[in-house]
Formats: sequence, structure tokens, C-alpha cells
Amino acid sequence: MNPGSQPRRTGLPVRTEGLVHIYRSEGQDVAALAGVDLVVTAGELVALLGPSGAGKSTLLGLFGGLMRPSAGRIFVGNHNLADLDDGALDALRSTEVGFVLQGAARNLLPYLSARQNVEFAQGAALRQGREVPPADEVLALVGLQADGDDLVGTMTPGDIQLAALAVALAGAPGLILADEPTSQLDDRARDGVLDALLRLHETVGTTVILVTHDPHVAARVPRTVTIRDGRVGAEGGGGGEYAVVAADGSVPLPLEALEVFAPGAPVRIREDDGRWVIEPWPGPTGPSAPATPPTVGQGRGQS
Amino acid sequence: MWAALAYRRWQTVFVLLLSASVTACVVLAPLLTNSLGEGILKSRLERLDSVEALATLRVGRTPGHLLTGADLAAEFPQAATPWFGEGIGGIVAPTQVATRPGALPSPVSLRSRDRLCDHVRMRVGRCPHAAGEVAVSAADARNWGWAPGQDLIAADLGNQNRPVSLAIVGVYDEPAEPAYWLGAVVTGKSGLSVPLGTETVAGVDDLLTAPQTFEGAWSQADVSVQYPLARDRLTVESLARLDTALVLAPGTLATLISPVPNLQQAVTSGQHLLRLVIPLLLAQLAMLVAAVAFLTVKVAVGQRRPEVALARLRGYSSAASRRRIVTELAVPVVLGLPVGVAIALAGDAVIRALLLPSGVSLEVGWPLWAAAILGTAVTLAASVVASRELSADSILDLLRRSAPHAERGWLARGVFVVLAVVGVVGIATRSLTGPLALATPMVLALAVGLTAGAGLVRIAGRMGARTLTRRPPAVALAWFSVARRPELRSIVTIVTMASALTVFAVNAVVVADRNRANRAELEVGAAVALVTDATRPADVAQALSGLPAPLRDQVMPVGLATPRDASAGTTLALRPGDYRRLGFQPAGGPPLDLAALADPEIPSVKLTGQQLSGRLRWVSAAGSPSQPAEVRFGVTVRLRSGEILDRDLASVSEAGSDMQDFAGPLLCPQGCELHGLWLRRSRSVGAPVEGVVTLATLAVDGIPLPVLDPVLWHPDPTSGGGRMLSVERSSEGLALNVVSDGGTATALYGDVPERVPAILAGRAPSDEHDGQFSLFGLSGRPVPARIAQRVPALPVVLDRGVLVNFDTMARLGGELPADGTVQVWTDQADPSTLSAVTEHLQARGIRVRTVERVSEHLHRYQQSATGWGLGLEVVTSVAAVLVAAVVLLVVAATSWRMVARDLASLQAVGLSRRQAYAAVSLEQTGISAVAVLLGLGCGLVGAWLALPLIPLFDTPVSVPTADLTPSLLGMTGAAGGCFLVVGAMGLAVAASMVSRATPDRLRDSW
Repeated sequence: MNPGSQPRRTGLPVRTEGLVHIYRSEGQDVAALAGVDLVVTAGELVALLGPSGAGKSTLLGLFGGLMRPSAGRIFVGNHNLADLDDGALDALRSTEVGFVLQGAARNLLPYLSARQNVEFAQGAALRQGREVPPADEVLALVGLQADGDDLVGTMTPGDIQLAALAVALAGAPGLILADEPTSQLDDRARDGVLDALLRLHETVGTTVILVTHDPHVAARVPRTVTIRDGRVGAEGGGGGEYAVVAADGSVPLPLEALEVFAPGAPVRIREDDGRWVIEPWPGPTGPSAPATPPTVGQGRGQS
Repeated sequence: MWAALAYRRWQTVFVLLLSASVTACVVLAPLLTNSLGEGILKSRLERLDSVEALATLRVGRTPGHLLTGADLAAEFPQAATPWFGEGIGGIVAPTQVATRPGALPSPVSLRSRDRLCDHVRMRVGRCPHAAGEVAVSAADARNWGWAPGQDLIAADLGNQNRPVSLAIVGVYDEPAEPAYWLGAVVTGKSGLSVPLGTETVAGVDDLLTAPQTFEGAWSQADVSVQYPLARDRLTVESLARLDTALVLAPGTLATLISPVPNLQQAVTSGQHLLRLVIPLLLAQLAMLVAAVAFLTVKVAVGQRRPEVALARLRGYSSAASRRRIVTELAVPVVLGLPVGVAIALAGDAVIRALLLPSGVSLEVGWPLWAAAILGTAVTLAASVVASRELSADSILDLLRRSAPHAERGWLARGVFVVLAVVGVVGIATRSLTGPLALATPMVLALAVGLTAGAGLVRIAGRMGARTLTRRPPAVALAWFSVARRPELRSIVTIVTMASALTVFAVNAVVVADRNRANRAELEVGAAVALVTDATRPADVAQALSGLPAPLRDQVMPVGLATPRDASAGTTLALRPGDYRRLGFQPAGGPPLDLAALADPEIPSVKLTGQQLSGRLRWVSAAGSPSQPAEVRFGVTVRLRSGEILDRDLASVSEAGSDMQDFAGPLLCPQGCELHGLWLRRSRSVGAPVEGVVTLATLAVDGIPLPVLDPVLWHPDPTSGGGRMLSVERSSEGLALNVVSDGGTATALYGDVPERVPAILAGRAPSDEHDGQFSLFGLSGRPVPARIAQRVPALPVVLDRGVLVNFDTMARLGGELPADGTVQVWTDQADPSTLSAVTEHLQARGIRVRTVERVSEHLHRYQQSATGWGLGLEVVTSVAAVLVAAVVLLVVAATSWRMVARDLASLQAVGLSRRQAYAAVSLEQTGISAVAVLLGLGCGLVGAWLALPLIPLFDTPVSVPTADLTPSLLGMTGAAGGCFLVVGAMGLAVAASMVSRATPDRLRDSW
């Protein structure tokens, strides 16, 4: 996996179709995801953005097989996760998917060194007869080869996060899922971790999906997906942001557009010289106004 | 794995120790059963004197079989020899020797014994070593003038009394080696009077001779070989083998007497009790420790949830992740096996040193190792069961520190609650017995502890919210901490169980001790009873009255007489006032109505002199009989021996009236007492006599006796045949109205009641009618008595006997029967007092034969299977308290990082260190206090339930009635002690937690 010596590995594509996840909390059902349609191509680096509680971490957990969707389908590589039993999901996590939990130290056994943690993480793959890269190479990939034998408790927060990333890479996965990998880090450490992720993505070709609130991170990621109210609210890339038409034809409006198109307000969508225009419904007095306003769907961003 | 164990080294140590504790509890069961069984054997062996500890092989010689000791020894079972010392053979022939020329021959024993000359010190001459040579005792040499060189002529009783000449070659000193003579009484007989047929002759000590003397002669001799039991070689296991081996070959004429069968029976019955008592104690402790181990392992498993989550996240399967944790925990659990065995061995050694007789050996057999493996397997199984929740949880659930399903334990709680209810109801309705019944108190405590733990967590959150603004922050923080730390439920559960066990154990010990003391006091009657060789109760009473004050007030005479018929009750005579002051009243029954035994206030009339005289008038009320006879009048006197004799004083004509002065010899050279007046027809019993005798005077040597007041007399209740001699006042003196069939009609002097009032224990005498019966007097004569009170038990006589007034019985006089003793009871057990009384009695010719002490009787009960078993309760309770304290440490060791981090966070936002300490200490001591109170309640219920199931004595005693009243003082004291230990540990834990709450903790993620 050394960028200089290892062949580039193809990352795993990820695709969801109408993904729904419902939590049951204190007797009530709460929809964390309400129909997510998302495609991440192999080798892509995607950041999931969105406010707290929008469903980003839930989506990441579903990609990693940590939970099962209430409805819809998830494809990781060639696997439809809904079809996999627990054993197959375990096998998937051992070699195909690497997961970085929020809170770097939670990813590591505190009484082991970084190298030992990597070796521990490789254990399941080895038992399955899979080939795994040497721990030193994994550590080198994230820039930790010099500190590999330090116990976790003696490492800096930045190095702990790098070690967590190394552990996620231990089985040479095709997909890395990282939940807030740069939170609670200073700028330097954050950049170090981000550099490692970008290097990984560029040199090895691993698909990386990370969750972040940090605009600096979002700015350096080629593609961002904003999750809002359990759906894909917007996407961006190269400094711009755009809405995404969902499978059911709905388009979430940007937040600033909601100030004009209040939820429940009727709008008219028409083609104007090759462009599609969305505008407030002029009302019954208008030239072609219907007798009563049309019924519109509930919820923000629906049109 | 090793790094993980090292990371949680204290937790590892505690898991190891708890595994060791479970193993130790299980291992202790066979160890203690063995040690206590050995203790029973040693205790029994210690009680055997040198004679009782012998196996004696004996055979009588016959003319055709002149066996020697060596011949007999060959018949001793060879398989039994390892447990006996070297046999000492001997031959004893009965013979007769005249002490002086012309004197009647005295019976004497001609005795030879193996290696005799090594064990006899010759005062004069030498030891006999050839046939026909004898040594005589120094006392015989002195009394009869015997000396070496003289010949004695003895009679060979087995050979038509053929005279045999025995040459005296030496004079031996008093034998001084009990271990050699083994109970043979060789001396002490010289000069004593010995009955021989109808004559009395002088006693002679044994003649010691060489074995050669018996060669070819003395066919009437007894041959014996005595084998001293090698007590130190005997164990419970070898005793059983010895019992089997100690059987003579079929066809032998010899008999074998040994203590082995009795020992085997005692050990067997003791072991039977141990199998009941030890599981009761150790099962409760084992249940507690197993619960602690399970809860600790559960906490340890809970602490490893993030590790399991990580393993699952990295692709390890659920089973592999769980296996990894179980393997990690198995290391300290398995290492706990040798440690547990060592703890058990140490505990057994301590118990052997503190409780059991010396010399109880340790036996390490396969049961120990089987128990060790079982104990370790229990903890391993607990680890496997505790880790099951890991399989059920998803990775996200595992990432949370505590299981999301707080109510997961409801099934276990429900099971234990149901078991407890079934147990309580079963015992209350007496439908449940055996081990299940004995385990119920602990199951109850477990159910209460589990329920209370769950309940406490439920209400703690609400209480925290309620107190948040109204109380100091420490109170609310303590409540919240209880609410969010499920592991604190373990403390509630375990401390409840431990305090319940402690309370139960302490109460059991107190109650058992009380009952043993009651029994010992009932058996002896007072703190100390000096059993004398006196034959007359009055002698002892008189001797004691001569003691100086205050010693005189610290002693009392007591008479005991048992009739030959064992089923009849024993008579116990004592002074009610002294007994009230110095003796022990029987427990478990109504108070003795000692006032009912009060002596009549009429003093005895001593008759000392030569002649009785007086004047009487006879007036017949029957007219003129067809065949008039004489009516005889006399008195009865009571000799010091208790014998009652008539003194015939006057004779008047039955017909008409007559006035007469009378006189007769008193015939009481040693003095006597006036007992009664009598009247009878001189002949023709059956013809009625009716009339009045008026006694004008009655005098001894001319001195009138003050006995003419009718209140001093009462009719004899034992007179039969309608005979009645009633008394009334008359102007001339004492009028005696007689109505009889001609037989003797008697009026008795009132210094002895008409019927002696008696307190009866046990079943009524066979002759009892309307509360009246005859008791067995101290003189062995029947005494008219009436039942003043019926009680379940009386001192010494227990549930078969009567209690009467000593002075009343002493007035009746007489010598004790064969089975009678006079004792001296005292409440002073100090040697100086006993020595002073003993010397005082000895100076008056009364020897103290034995000394009975309540403390010795109590000690004997304590040195028994049940005594030791209940003594173990103390060990159990101490262990339970320590286990509870360890639980606080375990919980602290497994959760201190989280608590310290929380405290550090709170201190970062302004909580003072003092407030932090107050919060944690309040949390620790608060839940401990609640649990101890619950344990106290469970212990109380357990005492009510299970105490009646515990045997308090090896052999059940009928009296006094078992007093199972719980000792509230003991119980609350035990609960208080438990709280002190657990509370102190809680405070130490709080201090440790707070000291670790440094800002560095805020970086901890685990």
C-alpha cells in the first residue's frame, strides 16, 4: 500500500435507493433517514455535511453495516447489504469497509500501541485467509511509522486520529467511512489527518466517505453531500452547491430559497426559453389560475 | 490479552480473588467435613482415659488350655495392629492367702505381666523372675509383716484348692506408671475389710509374679492382652478400616473389647450432622460469593463492551468477540484455582487451630481437587453467562458503556423472587425441608437485593431531580450517580446478602450458645457442683453450716437419689432459698414455684435421754366389746439413719376408760427425733377400735416435751384400712381420736409435712392419684408426696424427677441409697473457693469425688459436630462482611475511570473537591446503609424460617425447650458491624475516586 510501491487499488462504489431508517425511541418512531438516494463512485472522496441530527452518522452506520435499514437498499461494491447476514457483514468489515468512529480514542484499544492496534484490526481478515498489508506499511500510509510502537495513551490527539485511520485501513478496505475524523483537533492536526485521507484517496484509490461539520474540510473535498431532514438536501463540488433531484422527482430547495417559497406555498414551475423557472403561484386572479390552489406535499423543500 | 489484563490489573486481581473465593468456599466443604469429622474423633479420643482406650483380648484358662499371653496375642487381628501400641499380656489368677497363721484366708490376685520387672520398683529384695516367686506390696509387708525369704501358701482354686508355695523375693512400691498398668488395680486393698462369704476378712494387695509361675498350673486364671489405642495414628478414614479389621477369627474362645465400635458410631453420627450443617453455612457463603463473582464478572464484561464493539467493527464475529472476552476473564478465573485451594487450606488450618482439638490432621484427597475444579467451573460458567449479553447487542449498542436494556435482569429477579416466595411459604407450611429450605434465607436476601437494586436505580433519577435545587449539590449528585451507574445495583444486592448472612449467622451463634448454656445449666444446676462421697445429706448440711461467712452463703447442700427402676424419676432435694440465690432456674418453662416447697416451720423434737414417760387417759367410744383386748399406745422415733422405730409405752383396756402413767426406754444412744404417736389393738386386727386417748404429758427423763398442741400433729396419710388418729385440743392435754380396724393408727409430728410438696418434671409417677404419690426419699424409702407444680424440666434430673425441700428430706434422715449422692452447689467457680470448700468438707470426713462445672458441660457441647458447625457461623459472617467490602472495591476498580472523569468534569465547572467527596461518599454509604437495613430484615426473616431447621445439639435434647427467640441485640450489632466495615470501605473508595478526579481524566475515552 505504499504509494510508491503498491499497485493502485480500486475503491468500492456505494449506492443507496430510497433508504429509510427509523429509530424507535421511548415508544415513538423517529425517521432518521427518509428516503436517501445517493451514488458514490469507486475511488470517490465524499464528505457528508448537514446539521446535527440530519442523519449523516446514521447513513455512515448503514454503509458500514452497523445497522440495518428500515427500507430501501444499500449497495457497497457488489453487495446488497440487505442480503447479507451478520457473518457476511462481519467479513465485509474485515476487508472491504474500514470504519473510523467519532472520537479518535474510541477506535483504539488503549493498552496497545498503534502497531498492535493495526495488527488487532487485521486479525479477523487473517482468520478468513485474506491477505493484509504489513502493519508498518499501513502506519506509513498515514505517516505514523515512527510512532507505531507508542502506546495510545502517550500519543498526541492528532497521532491518535491518524492511528484510528490506520486501524480502519488495516484490512486494505475499498471503502473508508470516517465519522468526524477531524473534530477536536487543532488546525495542524486537522490538516495532517485530512492530508492523510487525501493521500490515501489519491494514491490507493480507496473510496472515502466522511462526515464533517468543518467547512475547511468540506472545502478540500471534491464532492460534498448535504443531508437535510433525512434526505440528500444538496450536493456540491469545486466550490459550488447544487440541488439533487430525488428518485421520486422531488428537489430540496436551498435554505435561502425557503424564505421565498414558504413550506405549503404553491409554486409554478415552467419552462422559459430552455430553462426551468420556479415562481410563486400568482393566485386565482391570474390569467390561468385554477379555482383553488393545488395541494402540495408537506415538508420543507418539497415542490 | 496480557496487555488487556495488565491494563485492568486491579480488576484482574479482584476477579482472580473472587474466583479463588468461590473455589475456596466449595473446597472448604470437603475439607471442613473431613477436619470436623477428625475433630469429633479426636475429641472422643481425648475423653477416653487410658483404660477406655484399650482393646482388651481376654480368655479364661481351662485345665486343657493353659494359654499364655503370647498364645492369646496370636489371635489379635493382624490387620488392626497398625493402630495399636505394643500389647501388654498378663495373667491373673484368683487365689487365697492367709495374712497370719490361723487367720481366715483372704482373697488375693496372683498377677504376672509382660516386662513386669521394667515397671516395678522394688523397695526390698528383687523382682520375681522364676516360677513360684512373688513380690508383695509395701502395704502388705507393713500390715502383715511379710518380707523376702518368707513363703506364702496360696490355694490353686482351679486345682481343688491345692496349696501352692509362693516364695516372697521382694517388696514393691506403689505402681506409678498408669500407661503400663492400664487400669489394673494392684494396690490399695491391703488392710481393708473384704467380704468373703458370710465372713469379713482382711484385704490383700496383688501378688506380683513371673509368667513362669503359671506354666502348667493355675487353670482358673484369666489371660489377657491389652493393646493401647495409638490415638495419634487414628483418622476418620482409618477408623472405619480399623472397625472392619478388628474382628476375631471365627471359633476363637477369646473375647475382644474395644472402644472402636463406639468411636465409629459417634463419628458416623457426627458426620451425618456435619453434612447438614456445613452445606448450610458454606452454601450460603458460596451463594454469596458466587453472586459476587457473577456480578463482578458482569461488570467486567460490561466494561469491555467498547472492546467488543471494536472487534466487531474490525470484522470479528460476535462469537469470536465474546470468546475473546471470556478467554481474557478465564485467565484470572483459572489462576484463582490454586489461590482458592490455598485460601481453603489456610481457612481449614485456622479453623483446626482455633476450634478443633489439637492433632487434627489435614487430608488432601480427590474430593478437594474435584471441589476446586467445580468451584472454578462455577466462575467460568458465570463468565460465559455474563458475556451472553454481548452477543445480543449490536455494534452501536456495544459502543455505549452500559447495556441499553436496563431491564434485562428482570427474568433473573423474577426467578429469585419466585424461589424466595416458594421457599418462605414452603417452610412456613412445613412442606419444604432439606437443602432447599436451608438455602431459602439466602435466596430471599438475593431476591430482595436484586429487586431493591433495580428499584433504587429507578427512583434515584427522580430523587436527584427533586433534590437538585433544594438540597446541597452532593445529595442530588449522589442520587444521579446511583441512577446512572447500574453497577451500584451490585453493591445493593451483595451488601444485602452479606448483611443478611451476617445477621443470620450471628443470631444463630447467639441462639445456639444460649441453648447450650441453658442445657449445661440444667444438667449441673449451679455454676459448680461438688459431688461428695457423703452418705448422709444431713452430714453435708451440717458441715457446710460450719463454713465461715461469706463462704457459707455461697454454697448449698443438694441431695440426689435414683431408684433402681430406671424409669422412675430421680429425687432432687435442695433448699429453695439457696437455690433461688445460687442455682440456675430451668430455661424455657414456667418459673419454679419454690415457695410451695417451703419447709414447715415446726422444728424437730430431738430426743436425747434414757426414758420416755407420761400420762394418758383412754375412753372407749365403742361400748363394751364382746372380746375386749388391750389397746397399746406408743411413739415412733426417727433415728439418724432414717430408720423409724416404734417405742411401745402403754397398754390400756379397750373397754371402758382408764388413766395411766407410763414409762419406757427411749433406746436412742445416738439421739433421735420424735416422729409420731400410734395406737393399735394388741390382737384381733379387724375388730374396730374407737375411742379417745388424752395425752396429759410426754417427757424424756422427766422433762416434758412441748408437743401437746394439736397444730403440731397431723394424721398419717399412709395409714390404710380406715385407720385414723386425729388430734384435737383437750383441757387435759392432747386428745387423740382413734377410729381403726384394730391396726396401727398413727399421727405424725408436724416437722415433716403430711405429704411432702414436690415439683414434678416429666410424666406422672405410676402411683400418682389426685396429685398424690410416693417419692423416692433420700434414704431410699418411699415418702408421701403431693404435686405442687408440674414443669417440663428440673435441674440435674432433667425431665424425669421431682424437686423437694432438702431440709424436709434431711429431717426424714437416713443414708443414701446406692444410686444417691450429696452434692454441694455453688455459684463461685474460682479455684480458691472450691479449694476452701473441698478442704473444709475433707476435714469433716467428706471427700469430694468429682467436680461438675457448667463451663465443662458447655465446652463438651461446643466440642461437637453441631458446636463446631455453628462456630463456623462466625467465620462465615466475617467472610461475608469482607466479601461485601471487597464488592465496593471491585465496583470502584471497574468504574473509577468513568467516575473520576465525571468528577473532573464537574470540578471543571465549579464543583468543589469537598462537594465531590461528599457526593461520592453519600452515594457509597447511602446505598450501603439501605442494603444493610434490607439485610437485617432478611436476616430476621431467615432466623424465623431456618433456625428451627438447624440442629443445636448432636443428640437432640428434650429439655429445656429450645429457645429460638432471635437475639435482636446480636442482630442489630451484626448489622451495625457490617455497616461499619462496608461504610468505611465506601468512604475509602470515595476518597480514592476524588483523588483521581484530575483534569487529565478529561482526555480519557475509555
